[in-house]
Amino acid sequence: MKKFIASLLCAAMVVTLFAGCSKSSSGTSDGTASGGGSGDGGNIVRYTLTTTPQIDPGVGADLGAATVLINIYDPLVMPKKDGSVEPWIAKDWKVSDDGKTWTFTIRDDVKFHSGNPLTAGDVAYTMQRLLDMGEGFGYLFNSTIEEVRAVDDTTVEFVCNKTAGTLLATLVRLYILDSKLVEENYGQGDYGDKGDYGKAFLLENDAGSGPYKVKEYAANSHVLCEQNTDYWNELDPNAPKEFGAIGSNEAVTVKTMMERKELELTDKYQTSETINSLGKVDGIDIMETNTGDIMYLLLNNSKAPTDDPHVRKALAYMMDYDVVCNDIFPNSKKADSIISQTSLGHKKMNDYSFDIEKAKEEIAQSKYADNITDYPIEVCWVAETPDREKLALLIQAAADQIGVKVNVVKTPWASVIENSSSPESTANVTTTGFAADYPEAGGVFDSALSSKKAGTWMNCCWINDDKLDGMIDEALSTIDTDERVAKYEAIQDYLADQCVMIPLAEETLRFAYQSSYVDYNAADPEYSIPVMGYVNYMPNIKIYPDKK
Amino acid sequence: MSLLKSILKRLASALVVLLGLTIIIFVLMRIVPGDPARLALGANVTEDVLEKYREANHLNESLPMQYVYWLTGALRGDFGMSAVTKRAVIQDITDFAPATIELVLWAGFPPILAALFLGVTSAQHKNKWQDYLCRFLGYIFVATPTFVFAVLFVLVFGYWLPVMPTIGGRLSPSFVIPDITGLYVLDALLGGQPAAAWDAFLHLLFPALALALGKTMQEARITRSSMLQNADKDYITMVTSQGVPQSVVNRKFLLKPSVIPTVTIIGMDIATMFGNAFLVERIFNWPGLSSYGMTAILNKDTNAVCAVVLIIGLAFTLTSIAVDIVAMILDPRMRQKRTR
Repeated sequence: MKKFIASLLCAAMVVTLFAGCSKSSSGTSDGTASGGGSGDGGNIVRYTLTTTPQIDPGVGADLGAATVLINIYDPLVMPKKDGSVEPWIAKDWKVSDDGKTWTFTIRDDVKFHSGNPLTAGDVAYTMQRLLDMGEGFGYLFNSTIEEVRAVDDTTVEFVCNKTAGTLLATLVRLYILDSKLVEENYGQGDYGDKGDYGKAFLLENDAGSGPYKVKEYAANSHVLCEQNTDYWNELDPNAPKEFGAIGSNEAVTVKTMMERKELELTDKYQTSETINSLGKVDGIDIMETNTGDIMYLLLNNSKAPTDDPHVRKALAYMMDYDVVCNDIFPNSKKADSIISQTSLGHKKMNDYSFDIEKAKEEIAQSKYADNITDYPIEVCWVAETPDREKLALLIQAAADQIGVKVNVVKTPWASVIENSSSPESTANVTTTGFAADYPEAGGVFDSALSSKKAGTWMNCCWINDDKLDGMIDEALSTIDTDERVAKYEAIQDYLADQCVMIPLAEETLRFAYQSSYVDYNAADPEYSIPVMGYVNYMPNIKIYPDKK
Repeated sequence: MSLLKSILKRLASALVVLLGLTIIIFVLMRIVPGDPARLALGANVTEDVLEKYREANHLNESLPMQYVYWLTGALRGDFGMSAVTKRAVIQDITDFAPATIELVLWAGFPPILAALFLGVTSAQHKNKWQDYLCRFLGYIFVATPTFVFAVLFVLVFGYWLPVMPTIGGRLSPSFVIPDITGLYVLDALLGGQPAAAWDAFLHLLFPALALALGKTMQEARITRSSMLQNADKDYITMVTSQGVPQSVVNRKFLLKPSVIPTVTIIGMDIATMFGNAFLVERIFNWPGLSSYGMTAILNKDTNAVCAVVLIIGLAFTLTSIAVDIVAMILDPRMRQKRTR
């Protein structure tokens, strides 16, 4: 008995000793790293992602990569809030009479983090690298750009194989590389005399000129970046001195880190329950913004029974849009087009509402009216985004009322990508949310509807409509903006009655952030740029460490 | 010599087991739906880029040939490239394995003392309150999944009573330690930095506890059962009747034979921790091998999965050999059986 009490007292003493040695921050070590460490007195903004991002601008192309690339590199042109672009590394530009040759004049006062001056040669190198590798954002250019040449140190030309009205908009994703630095770090690879094209080096290092530079890269953990004090553009004095992208977004971890002020911003994949509970904590608020993300039901137009437009319309009438916009994705706006209202070229397409009777009527008009139960509709939701299961269950509940069989399938993201590669393996319905690659309607038409790019997670509707493809090609090749917008609208008119995909909600992205010491202007609707990744653009965020 | 022979025989059979394991995993990863090229390169790359990747990684060859390429590379220490991290898998393994090894070492070995203490106490005070308490706690801890402990620790010690570093890495930012073994506590001590060693230990404490608690109580229960079984044996009755003090009986005659089953279980527990630590690593953002392996599985990163499974299989095999050796040391009869 005495021994037992003595043991308990020892344990109590040990706990008390620990309490006096509390540390709450994470750290770095000699050549190794731990989560989101910083030594800059709290002048750091940290946010979470689903995985550690790829920071090679020739490789990374998802949201995580974009949040880092936009900070450590400079794009050729910068997107604006209204969806247009402004000069950035390119001071000005002109297009030839035939609309195929674009000539850009480059700033002559920009230096890379290495100290090398940024020249037209670097711009040409970056584009050529994207085209040669074919990864990352290369898909935006590889069907358009035929030749790249640096005319002199401040002039670069892109020669296209057709008139490319959207080229300028896509160049927001051309992140300029320090070609000399990359060439010095070629490793062994499959690109002939260029070896690996610097892929191994750029995996963990940056060769950019952006407002931040990579300080530490820890695979499967985080990326830590520090401010570029020699940046060519003026930075707000309250812009963070460092930022960290943490490659883990487990809800319990995010909540605890936010409450302990070890995290400043959450990611967009947190459930509404997590965000709402964080919003109740003192010093943490919720920022709501719209960056052009729309939650869709992508319908397989080549697979029974969703190959019938009446069945597709029936699905549109089965969705309870109030629940979607108020409960599942709180404060979202019902989408009235497959193009976001924040994008250039938006036009209202339709106004579906939750109407079981109309759904029944549509089924009755379809070719499957007599045997619809023989064709169960497979609805797949992405496993890593729990809120989307609710969408699938909503459809299932409504379908039960009219005797339509719906199978809800939880699918890991990797399998969604793979399943999207053929019409046979693509589910009838896939719940996916995305924004256009650039803030124009053409970004959605080209990436999500054109048959030439079918077989990706974004483009798995398998529409196979030659007329639609022709209309898209014509719109994308129109140089004049007003004419191009008119063609975008014509496409939306053409698709209005076909219900090729169902736009559910203009997603209001909700982030919890440390409002007591952070001004999260990057996500503030008044300032935010509607391009993927820009909610984490550090020059548009202010931090006040003394208020922490 | 017989012990050495036995170990060599075990190693030889372990190699065969590991080979079979890699074949099974390799085949499973290849036949599960999912195009490795598309998963590695991204969703928007063109078909010709995908085809180049497939050619470079022998994905168009037959399954047996693909395995031969993989195996010949593995024997040279080249497990290929990870589709997720885009680095050589061997580099990933050398980066992440020490974190898991350190976690498992601290979760596996120090709790042995607690398990033995609780088991012995419980057996010595059979049907008294110490026994009831140990058994009650044992039922709860054994039934509670590891990740529940992890979440509880984060909640209690990370949020309600923020007294400990609960999440986010292995060391606080103010410390820089030499990279000798990759085991931070040991490296800090070898580098003459006791404060850093203490800090690294504090970072380890809760992940290790979460991993260890259920297994420790299981081991305690087995120790208790074993001691109670042996306490009824004739030789114990004989030494007790000779007037040998109870403490000497317990220490010299009862404990050694009673811990053999516990040692076997401890070995298996430590081996399984390598694979089962992934939830703890995810919750605590611990940059370890298990978490890396789980990410590889979810992203169909074949090369990484095969390598991780091989490493874990190797850990299992080596641990079971070590357990056998310890058991032979504890029980001379096992040595004699082998010499006959």
